Amino acid sequence: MEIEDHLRRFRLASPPARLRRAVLAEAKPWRPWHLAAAAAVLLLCSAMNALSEARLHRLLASGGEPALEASQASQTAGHIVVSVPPSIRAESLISLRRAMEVDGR
Amino acid sequence: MTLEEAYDRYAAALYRHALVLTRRGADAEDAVQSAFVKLASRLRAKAEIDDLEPYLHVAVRGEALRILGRRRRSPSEARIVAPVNGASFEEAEAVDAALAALPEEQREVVLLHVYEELTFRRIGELLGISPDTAASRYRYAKEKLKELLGGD
Repeated sequence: MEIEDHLRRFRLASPPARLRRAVLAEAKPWRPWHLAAAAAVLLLCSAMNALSEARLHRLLASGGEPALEASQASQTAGHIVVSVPPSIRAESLISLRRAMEVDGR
Repeated sequence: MTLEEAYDRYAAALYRHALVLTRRGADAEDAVQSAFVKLASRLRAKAEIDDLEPYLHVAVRGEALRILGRRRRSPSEARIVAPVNGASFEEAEAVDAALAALPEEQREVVLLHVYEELTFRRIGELLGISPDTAASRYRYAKEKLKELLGGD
């Protein structure tokens, strides 16, 4: 038997299917806009967080009446409002402020 | 041609080329992957490639030899052939050992000529050597294989 015929009685391995996936995934072009979009979302989230924190601080500093604002808004929207005595609102605000101070440290 | 098309057309032969050189599946995969990453960057840069097949074989070969040089002292343990057409596993082991005994440049010519059925002219184009050199490497390989495996 010719050596070529003998060699052809055997076959060489084929590449595993995962290689195709790996090659095509790795060769994908790098798209900077993916990163830019993620950064924009993060920026938006942190801006919204900063805004709501500033609003809360303003309310606490002015000893304001968040419940009153809320009740007015709710009445406008046609909701039933359960009124809370001012002393309870003050206590809640004080505990909230303490909690924020602890967090701030 | 897109990268997917190039992969589907050439990857199997490239993998076998890398496997014959490195004699280790994981290394062959690395070599093929590296060649296609290079190709992807060329395609992105809209660079002209006259003949994709030699370009890829040269890239795979370069990477396979680089890997081989890095682990020159560690033994290869992969089996590169499997029996078909009624051959036994013992015979496959003997063929494997005989192929392993050949120098890399002869082994790859055997692969390309016997298994990929390429002419010496085309092998020369793929490996950047003359057709005569390819034929001469094949002749030496054949003599050695005959010695090791018997046959006419």
